[in-house]
Amino acid sequence: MGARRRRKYALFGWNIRACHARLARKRERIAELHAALEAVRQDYARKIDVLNAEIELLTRQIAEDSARKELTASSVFFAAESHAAEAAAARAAALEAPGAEKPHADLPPAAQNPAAEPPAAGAGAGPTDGTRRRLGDLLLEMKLVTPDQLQLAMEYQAKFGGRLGDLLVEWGFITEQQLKECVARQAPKGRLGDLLVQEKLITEEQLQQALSFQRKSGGLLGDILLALRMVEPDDLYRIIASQNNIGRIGREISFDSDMKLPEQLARELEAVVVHRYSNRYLVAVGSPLGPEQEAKIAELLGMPIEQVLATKEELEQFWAKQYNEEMMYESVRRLAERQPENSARTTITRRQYRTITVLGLLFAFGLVRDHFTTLMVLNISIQIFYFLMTVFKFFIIMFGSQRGSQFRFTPEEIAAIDERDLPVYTLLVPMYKESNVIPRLIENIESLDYPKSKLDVRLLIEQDDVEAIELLRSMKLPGYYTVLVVPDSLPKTKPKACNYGLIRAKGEYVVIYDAEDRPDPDQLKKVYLTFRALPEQYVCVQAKLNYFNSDQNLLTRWFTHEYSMWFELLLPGIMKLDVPIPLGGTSNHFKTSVLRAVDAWDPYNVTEDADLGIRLYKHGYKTAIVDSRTWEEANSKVGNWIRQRSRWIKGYMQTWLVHMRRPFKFYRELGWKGFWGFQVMVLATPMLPLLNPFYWVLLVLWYGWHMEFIPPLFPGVIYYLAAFEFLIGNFLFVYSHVAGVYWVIRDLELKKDPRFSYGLVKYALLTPIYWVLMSIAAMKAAWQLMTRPFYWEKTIHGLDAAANEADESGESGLTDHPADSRAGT
Amino acid sequence: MRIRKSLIGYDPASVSRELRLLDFQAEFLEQLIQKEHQKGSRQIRELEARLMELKAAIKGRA
Repeated sequence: MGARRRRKYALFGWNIRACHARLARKRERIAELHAALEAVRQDYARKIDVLNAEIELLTRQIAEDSARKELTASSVFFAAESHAAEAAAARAAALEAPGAEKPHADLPPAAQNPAAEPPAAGAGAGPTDGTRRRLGDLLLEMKLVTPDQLQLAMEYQAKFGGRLGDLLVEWGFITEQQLKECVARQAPKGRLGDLLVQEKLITEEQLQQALSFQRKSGGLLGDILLALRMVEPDDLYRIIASQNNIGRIGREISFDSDMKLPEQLARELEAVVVHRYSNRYLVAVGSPLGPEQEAKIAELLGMPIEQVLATKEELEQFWAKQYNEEMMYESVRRLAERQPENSARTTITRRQYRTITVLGLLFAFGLVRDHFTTLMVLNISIQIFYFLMTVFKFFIIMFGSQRGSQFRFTPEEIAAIDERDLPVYTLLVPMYKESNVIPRLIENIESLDYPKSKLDVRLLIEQDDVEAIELLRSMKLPGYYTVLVVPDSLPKTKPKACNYGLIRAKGEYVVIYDAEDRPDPDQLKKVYLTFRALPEQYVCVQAKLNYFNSDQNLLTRWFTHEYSMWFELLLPGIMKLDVPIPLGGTSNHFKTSVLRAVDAWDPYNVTEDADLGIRLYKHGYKTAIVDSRTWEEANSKVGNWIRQRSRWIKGYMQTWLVHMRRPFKFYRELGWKGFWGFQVMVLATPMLPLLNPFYWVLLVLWYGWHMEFIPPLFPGVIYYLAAFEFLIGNFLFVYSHVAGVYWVIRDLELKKDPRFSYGLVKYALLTPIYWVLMSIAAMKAAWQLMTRPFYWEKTIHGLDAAANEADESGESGLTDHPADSRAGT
Repeated sequence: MRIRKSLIGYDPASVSRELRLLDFQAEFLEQLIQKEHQKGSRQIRELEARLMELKAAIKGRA
């Protein structure tokens, strides 16, 4: 054995070479086997593909044959009843007569216009009077098809889509040559407006009216006609399809394509593969594709394509079916996967748990060792924190009251806008079980002063909100509205719905409105002017929020004071100081491209708006405040108010925890000003209401019972600091509320808007009671952060309407129709 | 042994391991090819039967 091994391992011996050769041979054999396996697989796949295609063709043939037989049977019956031969003769005679418009009076109206024809070879040979002859009419006239054959093809076309000429050729009713000859006899296709008038879908006066709108505001004629509700989308798209030599999508689509385009390309081209025939793919398109684009898709799919035009709504439906997975990724997982450090999917990281545990243990150790000194040190830290936050906040408010902290525009500047320059604007309106406010919402959107043909309103409804879905379906909204049903999945939050709506948003700018929002009519134009006036890095404009039901009760008055201070003074001050702005939940306007680039909203954060403001700042972008208001509904019920407020406070806590995962890195990203601004806005907002109750208790114990343990907790200068906060700090907070609401009233007075009266100001003096409610909400929020971090506390909207109705009917309290909602800022 | 390996880049133990592995791999691939043949021909038989059915159905309708 030893000798054998030695021989085998001998240096430079043949054994080594033999081994290497053997290895090489075996490797070659493996490679051959791999190749053979691949060849076998491909061979079978090819054979199976061919068989599948044949089967599909035959199945389709059988289905088509059945449909044809059914239709033929009914048309034969019809023909027998109405003496088809005479009718055809009469039609032929009518065709000869000049100006004959409707030769197919007995055909269904939807099928009156054969949708489209193949490219007009030799179109120059057509009649010279400019009137476009319909393919069906010409085929009848040339006696190439019988009326029954034509009716059959048109019925089939209406049902399954495609081009009339193709169908007639495919079924063998006419030859391709005959079709070409017939097409050649048609006059060249005219302009869309003329075609619509010719088809009697609009009148000449309507066309002129739409054209005058187009001259004023720009945009596409089709969009304008839809916005003015002069034509039904179905009719318009049929004519556009015909004009562009493509088919229109049928009523019934068997959505069974085994292929789909890459999402980016599909979005860019607005194309969805909907069906596979044996020899081509049926591709639904939002607008006709050029030859290059068509070739690109055909190359990708490996088979020719047939374009069929789909309306916006139809395309959205196809999109939701075809790209559901991608859409869910974009709306739920995108941020968490691409920027896990910025996602609230994990509320508290392990490192944060460790830090909190260490601090807790230190505190416990301190209490055991020397409880009094520990509590005193804690109190001193809190007092310093209170003091710094108070001073910083007041400085922000002072800055906010300065000139130039908000962007203001005069009515003349707004009137001077050339509407043709205005971009398409997307309005995202997420709602959940708020169908009672939908009519009002539509009214508010309609009252916006912006060319309607340049609006892209996306109403985002949750899948289980059946009432809203049904209501919106029955409303027949103008063409610039899109109702999007957000698939049911967790987390079921407003930011998820907004992300979903953003995916296919068409606007250059995008804004969020809640269902009950009433934006100032000129808001979109003011934002446009603001963006135009600002450098590129300004990517967000926040409009100011306030309440239309401020005088409903004391709670709504306090809420109005708070919002007035926040949006009129605090946020403008933040903008002026250039520190991160926690955005308000609605009426924030974004540049769509940038919003997409930063991965939009965090679906796991319950104050996604505030979080987005911080993330934008992190990425180096800036936010501006515009002097335009959106009027919302203030919560008028204490329980409802606490639910809403606890969600906001929980969201601020979440946002703070997310961004403070790596405090030093965060400090480097934001700089000292941004970092401390973040602490004032995002940390102090939940912390102060949490801490307040302890000091209120101490105050009561001191003034009530002169408890002796209290004075030593406030040694030396700390006592004066606490006294300053108690006397001056509280005064400043109350004063800021007074100033905020006074500011709004004065501003409205100058604009001759009598919405608020000076009588509202005095209630600001009772604000400290409001702070008690805030503390209750903060404690609830802290508890929920630990137990249900992603739970979205629903806010009930429509209470003002309910109260009004009750007032009118002499009842008190609420009706039994409160809608719950995720909405709210 | 270590010196020898570093000198000639030849480790008998790993060579024999690799030879065994290659043998196993070849055997596995041969079996896989067999299975692919069986699977493919079964699928083709099924599809052909379906095709015949459809053709018969069309003939019947005609």
